Amino acid sequence: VTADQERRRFVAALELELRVVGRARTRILEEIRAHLDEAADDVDVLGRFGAPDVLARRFNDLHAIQSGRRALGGVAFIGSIVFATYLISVLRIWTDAFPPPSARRLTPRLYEDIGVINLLATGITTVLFLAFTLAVATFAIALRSAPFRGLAAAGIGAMALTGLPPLITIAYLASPQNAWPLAPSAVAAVAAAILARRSRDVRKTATRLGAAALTAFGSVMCGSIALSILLGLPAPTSAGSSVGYVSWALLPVCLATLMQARRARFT
Amino acid sequence: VPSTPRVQLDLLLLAALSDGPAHGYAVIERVRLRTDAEIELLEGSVYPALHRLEADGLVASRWVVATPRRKREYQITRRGRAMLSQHIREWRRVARAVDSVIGATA
Repeated sequence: VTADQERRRFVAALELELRVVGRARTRILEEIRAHLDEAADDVDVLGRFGAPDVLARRFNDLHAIQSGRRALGGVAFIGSIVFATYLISVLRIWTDAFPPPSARRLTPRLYEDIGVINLLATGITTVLFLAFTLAVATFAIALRSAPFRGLAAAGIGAMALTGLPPLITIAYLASPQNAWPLAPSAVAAVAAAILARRSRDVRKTATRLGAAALTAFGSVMCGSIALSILLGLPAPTSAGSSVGYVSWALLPVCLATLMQARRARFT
Repeated sequence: VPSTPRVQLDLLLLAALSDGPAHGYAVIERVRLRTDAEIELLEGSVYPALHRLEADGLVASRWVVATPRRKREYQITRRGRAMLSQHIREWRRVARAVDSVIGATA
């Protein structure tokens, strides 16, 4: 078996094991072939490359993380758009004189200011299209920058994991009759969660972000309860509202997270 | 640990590229020649590391025409130079620390 035949076999084995697709795949194979062409025949270049499956695994891991980050960024972005649209629609429904009873009870001041809010909501809806277009363009440009790509995709992906589920739950509890627009956001959040398995950076950022958010929420809740006891006012969690139920449900999670976060130095 | 094997590999690759753009084979040769063959980087580690450095924005790459086939040429970025300076500082600190231990036992 000549050196040339051995090298061809090596590249063929690498091709079989490589799970990277598209331009990245072409690039890897061409780089390896160019290197093998350049190396002298008497050099054990294959030994220096190592086993083809080990080399392929290194590239597979590396590119899986990158594509995972990009996919997560995209999913998170779409999810955010869908959810923002839903929030605006809910706000408009409320301000069109159909606020849910909990909102009427809890926020009489908001109800009084309905004219201003309605105007605001209409204004937001009008500029929404422009804002989305601008956001999409910015995101597309920013994704071309490798340092930004890693950081932003990890951050946005983490936001999708930690931000979307509680927001969807609160929005559903606030207005179950208008729940149908939540479906795409929920799907986006689930897709983001599935894709997050591929990126260690996203998982780490999501954990930190989640811990920080829960810590902040827990601190605010504990503080407001303490304040209401001191001042003899009704606690925000005793109002019988959907926010109150969610707050009570999250309180033990917040406390547990506070303890974990302290131990893991997340905050 | 401020200086892991991965950091050391990054340090060598970035230092080799700080002399000017080069393709993978040339990077390995530069390190070998500069160290009088004391350090021979393995191709199986170098190429994935170069891809990782590029994904982190520390190096940039482009195809250059060559015979018999085109080659991927790598160039250190501004961010890569900043990282190289940081790695060098860390490495010197570790080397000094190790030296002081060796010196104490010798």
